[in-house]
Amino acid sequence: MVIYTPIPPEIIWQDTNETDFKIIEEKINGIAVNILVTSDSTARIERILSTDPQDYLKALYQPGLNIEYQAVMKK
Amino acid sequence: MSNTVDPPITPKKRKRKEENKTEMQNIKEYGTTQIPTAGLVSNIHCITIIGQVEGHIILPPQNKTTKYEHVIPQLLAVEQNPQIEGLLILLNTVGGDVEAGLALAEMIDGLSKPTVSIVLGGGHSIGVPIAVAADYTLIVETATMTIHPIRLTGLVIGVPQTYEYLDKMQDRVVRFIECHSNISNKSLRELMFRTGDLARDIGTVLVGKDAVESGLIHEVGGVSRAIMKLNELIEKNKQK
Repeated sequence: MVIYTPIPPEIIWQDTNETDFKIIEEKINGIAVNILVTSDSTARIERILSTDPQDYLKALYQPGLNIEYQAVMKK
Repeated sequence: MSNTVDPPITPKKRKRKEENKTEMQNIKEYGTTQIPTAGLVSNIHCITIIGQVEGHIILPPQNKTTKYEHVIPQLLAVEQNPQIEGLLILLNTVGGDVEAGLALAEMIDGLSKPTVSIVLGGGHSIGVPIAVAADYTLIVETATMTIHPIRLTGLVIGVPQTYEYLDKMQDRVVRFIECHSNISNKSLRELMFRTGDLARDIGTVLVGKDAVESGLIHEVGGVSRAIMKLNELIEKNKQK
C-alpha cells in the first residue's frame, strides 16, 4: 500500500498502537451514521454517511447528539 | 414572600416551554440551530471526501478519514437510484491511499449521471485524480492543490520499495489526471518535480486560479456555480 499525501508519515502513523476506538457504523431509520459508543447504553452520533443532502438537515441525526444505544439489541 | 404561587402551566404554555428547551439544547450541545427542511427531495446528491482517503490499512484514530468502502457503495447507489439525477463531489482532502483514491476516481468517472466536483480548502496528492474524474471541475478561490511525486513522502508497506514500483504507481496517477483534464503530461510532470515551492518536498502548490490556468480544473467557482453547472448537465443528459 502506498500513501500519497503531503502530510509527513510520522504524523499519520503516530499512536498506531492506540487501536481501541469505539466508533462503529450503524443504521438509524435507514440512514447510515458513525457512532461513538460512550457507555453500555449510550452513544454519540459522530458523522452521517449519506449522499442525500436532506439527511444532513434532520435534527435527529445531528453530529454530537447523544442517543440511546444497546449494543446487544443490534444483533 | 415565599407564599406566592406560580401561575399554573397550561398545556399550550408547557408546549412552548418544551419547544424552547429543545431549541436551547440544540444550540448548547451541538452548536447548531435547526434548519427548516420543508420536505424537499433533492435530485442532486453529494459525496464529501475529507481528510485522508483510507484504503487497505486503517489509519490511527487521530487521522480524519474517508473510507473507500463507504464511498464505493454510495456511488453505486447513486448510479442505480432513478431519483438521483446528478452528483456533487465536495473535496477537502490531504490525499491518502493511492489504490483507494484511484478506485474512487474510476468509479466517479464511470458514472453515467452528470458529476461536478468542487475543491474546497484542499485537494492534495491523490485528491487530484478524484477531483478531475468528474465531468466538470471547480475550485474555490482559496483552495489549494499540491502536486508532488509519490516517492518522497510515500510509505510502502509489505512491498519492495523499488524505484520502478513507485515510478509505475506515479505513472498510473499521472496518466489518469492527464486523460481527465486539460493538463499535458509534460506540464504536469514539470509541476511535480519543481524545486523551491514546498518546504519538505519537491512539487508545487496550486492556489485556486493557478489550478485553472494550468488546465487541471475547469473553473474557479463556488457552490452556486457548481449546482448551476450540474443542473445544466442534467438537462443535457435528459435530452440525450
